[in-house]
Amino acid sequence: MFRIVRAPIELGPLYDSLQSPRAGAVLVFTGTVRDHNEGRSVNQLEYEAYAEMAEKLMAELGAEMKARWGLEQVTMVHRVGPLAIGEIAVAVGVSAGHRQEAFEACRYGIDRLKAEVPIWKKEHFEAGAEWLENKETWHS
Amino acid sequence: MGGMEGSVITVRVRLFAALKDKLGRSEVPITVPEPARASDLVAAVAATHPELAPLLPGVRVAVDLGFVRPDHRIETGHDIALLPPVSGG
Repeated sequence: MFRIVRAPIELGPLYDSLQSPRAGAVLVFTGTVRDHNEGRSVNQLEYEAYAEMAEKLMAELGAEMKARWGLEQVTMVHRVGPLAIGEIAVAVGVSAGHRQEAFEACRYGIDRLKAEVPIWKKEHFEAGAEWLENKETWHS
Repeated sequence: MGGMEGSVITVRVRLFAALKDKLGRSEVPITVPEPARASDLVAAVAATHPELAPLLPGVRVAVDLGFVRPDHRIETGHDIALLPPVSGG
């Protein structure tokens, strides 16, 4: 499952989609909205995506992870629209035979997602709003 | 024959995030002389919409849902997007 969604991300179905009789490890990373960033207080975040391309890149990334770590299942879901403090913005889930490959693959997946997948975050703070750039993103 | 000299193509370009906010539109038609490369397209966007120029240095071009290099040939019918540096997660 590789999706850009507008509705809140529900962990129950996401976790269920990862289950496999061959998996000894099921791991779900969630990225949540923080109330501060770089020293300023954040009221709200807003995400936008190039959904078709984001879903395609996430699926390609998932296939790469599956092959490299011999995973059973991979799922990546990112939410768009306005999000409140504490809500889940992104979830990356993997299932694997053992925990080591699950941890490595999951970390790789979220790192690559943050560096390449066409999704953007606008931070609303006290004095205004600003589109951000991840430190992992490409640079010209 | 030299009949194609001076010909141009017009493509629709999708805009996101800061680019979209700046222009107040999620896509714009851009006209470029043929043969056009991705880098020519970015230059044409800057010329047509100077207010976007400061935002373009970090932008990558996508064609048909994949990143392309600056020398990638742009043609009519391509699904083209300008992608600012990303900030998902």
